[in-house]
Amino acid sequence: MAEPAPKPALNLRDIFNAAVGEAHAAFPGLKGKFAVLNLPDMTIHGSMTEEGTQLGSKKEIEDFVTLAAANSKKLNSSIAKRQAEARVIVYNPTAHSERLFTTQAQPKEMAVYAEFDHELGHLLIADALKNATLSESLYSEAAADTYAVIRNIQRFGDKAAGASVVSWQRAVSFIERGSQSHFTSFTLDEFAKVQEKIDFKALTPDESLHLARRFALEHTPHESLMRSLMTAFQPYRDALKANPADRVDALKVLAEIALGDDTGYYTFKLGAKMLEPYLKGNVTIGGQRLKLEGPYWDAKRRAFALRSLQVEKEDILAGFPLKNKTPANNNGFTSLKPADAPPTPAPKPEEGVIKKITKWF
Amino acid sequence: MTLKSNAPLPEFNGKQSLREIFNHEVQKATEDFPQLKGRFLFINLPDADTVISVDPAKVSLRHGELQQIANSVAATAEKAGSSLATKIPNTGLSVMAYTPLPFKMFTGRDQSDVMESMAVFDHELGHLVVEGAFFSKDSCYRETAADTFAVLRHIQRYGDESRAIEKAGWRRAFDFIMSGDRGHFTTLAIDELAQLKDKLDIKAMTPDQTIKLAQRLSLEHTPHFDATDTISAAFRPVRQALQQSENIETALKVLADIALASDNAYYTFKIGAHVLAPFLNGEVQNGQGEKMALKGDYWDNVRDQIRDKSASLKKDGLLFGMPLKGDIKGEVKDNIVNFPKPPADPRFEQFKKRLL
Repeated sequence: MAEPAPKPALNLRDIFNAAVGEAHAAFPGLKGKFAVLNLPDMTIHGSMTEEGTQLGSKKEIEDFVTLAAANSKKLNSSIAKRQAEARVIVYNPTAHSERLFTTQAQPKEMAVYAEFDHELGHLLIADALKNATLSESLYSEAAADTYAVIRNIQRFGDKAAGASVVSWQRAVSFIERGSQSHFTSFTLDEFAKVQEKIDFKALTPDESLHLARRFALEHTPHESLMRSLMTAFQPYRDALKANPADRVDALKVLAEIALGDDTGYYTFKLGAKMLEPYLKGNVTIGGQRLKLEGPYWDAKRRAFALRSLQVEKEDILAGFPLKNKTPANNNGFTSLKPADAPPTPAPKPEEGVIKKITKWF
Repeated sequence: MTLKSNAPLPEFNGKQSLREIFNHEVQKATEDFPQLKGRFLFINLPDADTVISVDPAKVSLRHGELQQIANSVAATAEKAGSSLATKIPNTGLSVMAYTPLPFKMFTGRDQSDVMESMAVFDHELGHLVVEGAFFSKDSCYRETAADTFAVLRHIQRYGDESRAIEKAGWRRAFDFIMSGDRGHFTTLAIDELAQLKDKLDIKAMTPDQTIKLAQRLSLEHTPHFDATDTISAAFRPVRQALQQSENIETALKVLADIALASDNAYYTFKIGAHVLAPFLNGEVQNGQGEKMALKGDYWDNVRDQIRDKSASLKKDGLLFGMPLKGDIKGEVKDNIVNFPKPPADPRFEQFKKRLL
């Protein structure tokens, strides 16, 4: 059997030439003010003039780009920078960023464009470069991610990854590594709920920016919620840190946090989001599919299904007395269990597993 | 936490004095929210009265200190001309001072003063019992939590008679536009509650659930600072027009022009139309009780446009004004295909060398 032909190397130069050309066409105000520095290939795309950038001299423009490149290298991340009217994107991908918006099955070009569009969103959406406070960073990242998703769908139509991949990745980064400022999942999930209604190809460039901003303004989580969620998921991070080799044990801690009797609305929403692919056996680690089996996990799967149904149905009112539904004092999620559902076996308490999380967020 | 009751809060027949009402309400508050028990001092400024539910063992205050605190809080409230709630550091003591506002925030002109007083009391109580409603750094979150709590309690007290959602939601939006008061812009959460209230059995909610729902709605619908900042700036010409003309109709014309300026300006339309609605419907009275009428072709046109756009806003929500599948909006623009590929700019070649 013939060996498969090696994949052609990704032509970043062509991608960025095209992307910058599109950006100039869509936003003519960028002319003479905008460039992309492609660090892997050491190419620069776009143009900056003293007049356009209002930076005064070629040296100032050079210094601006050089500093941006140095920042990007230091942060080990793509970045967007603005000074006066000069705007630069430094493309500096990592293994994580290359799979942030797309699955392994999707073409790498899609990931490159998504990373570019995320950074372009920072540059073009009002206030989306701000990062002086957690609240500002949360908004800026939500706006940039939503814009990248909109552009991804505009570029690739039905083949686009949409919001689901990046939303899950952001949730994992937050829960496992405490990455607060880039937690955009709630905004992306709200966007995913309505994206089927949008005629993406008919959105003008300005409308695309406005729509991303609107979703970010409306659905960026409040910073006090983020702080509470940080605390709620800390036991999971601790468990992972204590025994990195045993993910199943750590996932039990996560399951107790997300699906405990007194788990709050937001803790459930976020924890369940991360747990779902694990519970469904859709996660592979080191090439091995992680299977969560046995009575404990079966019980958790049932709890997950019941509560997901309730949250889907009742949304923000989940757990409160609703008309024509429950008696008073139904403070929690337990009332949803249908009368004919089989009794849920009580999970066997296990050493080191948190019994109750009482935060109601 | 022991929840004493989820029964409706008592209604008052108008024969009791404010002093009697507040005595009862303070007692009820400490039962409903046990964290206040033995740690609550209430000051009724109009009657120069205090209701003390303070256990010296719980608040660790020396003799005379409580009186000093009461005097200080009362003086602050009197100076501000507004009720207030505060927590005294290192004591666990919560203090509320009540004084009526010179206007009605939560009720209509035809509703009793007691109904308004209860809403003000609950707003301040909300600051003391809803998580973050006192300590959050975000003033808009604090006020949203307190307003949402007060509105829920008002419905628990007065049922369908309560018009707190409509009144407070409108008043906060009006003040936001006309005076630029961003810290009290709580309208978005109150509006959301208006959407949800028919599904909720509000009277069946326990005090604890009332706190939690106020918190949840506030976390979800307190506007981001950048939103209030930008929208407030967009409405600045309204404030300028009001200042220069001292004529509300002139200012409302500027407001209508801003609200209707764009086909897809979500927030300026949503908030502007909210404030304009009762003026357009002839429901707003001046100080003499005369209803204000906005007449003529200009206002008829504004009424028509707002009616049509409000229908779109209700249908499309956050997607208001955006191209949706199935819409017919003229020529479809395809902004994403086959742009020319410009060459890399040679002016940057020298950077590459430096970066390498």
